[in-house]
Amino acid sequence: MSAESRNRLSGVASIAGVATSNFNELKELGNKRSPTELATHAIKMALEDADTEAGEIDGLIAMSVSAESVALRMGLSDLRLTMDYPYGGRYIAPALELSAQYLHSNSANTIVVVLALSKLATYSDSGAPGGHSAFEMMHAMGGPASHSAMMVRRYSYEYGDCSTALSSVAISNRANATLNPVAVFRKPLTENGYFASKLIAEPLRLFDYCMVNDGAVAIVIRRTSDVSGNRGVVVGGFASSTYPTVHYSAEDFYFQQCRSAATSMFAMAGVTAKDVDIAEVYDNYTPSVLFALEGFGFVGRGEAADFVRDGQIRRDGSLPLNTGGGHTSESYMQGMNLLANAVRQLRNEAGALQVSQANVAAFMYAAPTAGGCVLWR
Amino acid sequence: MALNETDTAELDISKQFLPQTESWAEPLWSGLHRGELHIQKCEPCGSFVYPPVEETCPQCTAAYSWHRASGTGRLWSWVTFHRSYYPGYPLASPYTVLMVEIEEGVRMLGSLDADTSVEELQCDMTMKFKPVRLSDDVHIPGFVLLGKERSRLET
Repeated sequence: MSAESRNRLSGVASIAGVATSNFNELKELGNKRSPTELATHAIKMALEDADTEAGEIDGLIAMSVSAESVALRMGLSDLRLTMDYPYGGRYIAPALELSAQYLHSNSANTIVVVLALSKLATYSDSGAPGGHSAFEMMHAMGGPASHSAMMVRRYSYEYGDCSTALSSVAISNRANATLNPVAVFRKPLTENGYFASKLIAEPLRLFDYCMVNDGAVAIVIRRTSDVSGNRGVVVGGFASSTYPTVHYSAEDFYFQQCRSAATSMFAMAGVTAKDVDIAEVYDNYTPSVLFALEGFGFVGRGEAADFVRDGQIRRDGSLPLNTGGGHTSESYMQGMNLLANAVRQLRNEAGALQVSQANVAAFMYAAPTAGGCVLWR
Repeated sequence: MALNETDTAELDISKQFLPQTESWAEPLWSGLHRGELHIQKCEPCGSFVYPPVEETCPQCTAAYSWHRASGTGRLWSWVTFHRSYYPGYPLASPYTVLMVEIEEGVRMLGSLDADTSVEELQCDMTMKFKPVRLSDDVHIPGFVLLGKERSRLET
């Protein structure tokens, strides 16, 4: 698709409402709700946030939960778009693009994207150790984290030891989470505490890992022209790019797919990385933040560790990142909670988490499929 | 241990941890028992493949043939696991898995042979293929630091 035809979708869609579970409360309750129940509760709250009735929903994109089950429980009917994605992550940019296309062609008017994760149901790619390929299992490899560990060891060899950059990411995430009442992990984390934590897939430590928890996130997407008031957040650009890998590791730390997605996403939005005030980065493991910052052009290659160590990603830095605590401290909703936090920041409704300047936000993921979106008020 | 118990343990290790590819990847597994690495090659286009695939080459639709690899490669990186996540896995933790780019241009995983200590490893070192024994009947791809294997034979 040419850049010209893609640009037609820039700004067509707006996020009219968002909602997330109270992840902390769910953990206290013992994570006993089904994905469908978690999803329907989140959708109800997102509809209230968007000042929209359930009967107006005519599109439902469900991640890690069944769209039909959710629709049945909510009594939705005459849906013009239902789509099931196995999880969030790489499917977020395509979900936004699909939504924008449906809205642009008047095939749908009110689309809900919902993700729900529950330990009551099995789901894949949880970040927990597991055999991702038969030829990894014989080595007792522990899934994508093992490859993140290998990549960050190689990264340190090429660009210098980055262990204190990983600790800076984990500590910055946790500092944000201490201000976030719904975050799962809110106890402050120090550098000593980080380095005292156990090694899992060395060089990764416990605090480099996302959590596995229960919860849901829902967003309501409508045509920008249909969103009343001043609370809509415009979806300015989106893109994704896949460079398949045999295993989850890439010799260039996913640089080529990140760069490709970033070029399209920023061109579509008509902004550059320099215009971005806040970043939300899919931190399945802390090294992903370094890879995304470089791949999406926020810093040069090999410069992310210094950028992070200098405090630039802290809430008072030049690029506040993972403002709600990220996947390591707030909740692992496979990117969707990061998107929700970006929306709240842009609306100036993030409460104690609010950063001083939040006009343009970027959500990004660095993986074999990289992608993201640009949002503004 | 009685013989039948050993047999059961062997069977479990093979079934639980090895890809079930005997019918079409036999050269890989039999090569491992002889200390050799056999990988697939597409003769018309010259490309090598590992892990093995059951399909034909997507470029020229030819069936892959098996080819003995040189067994030498460059260490790209490695990861050390500090506990075992798989009940019954024969290697004690901590254990180390390497990513090695072999001379044929393929990146492959291998377990670290016990003759090399993880402290000796550095990225870009030259590694030599040496299968790691999970049991009498089960060997998996592995690597040792070049020179280590020889010194062990000498002592």
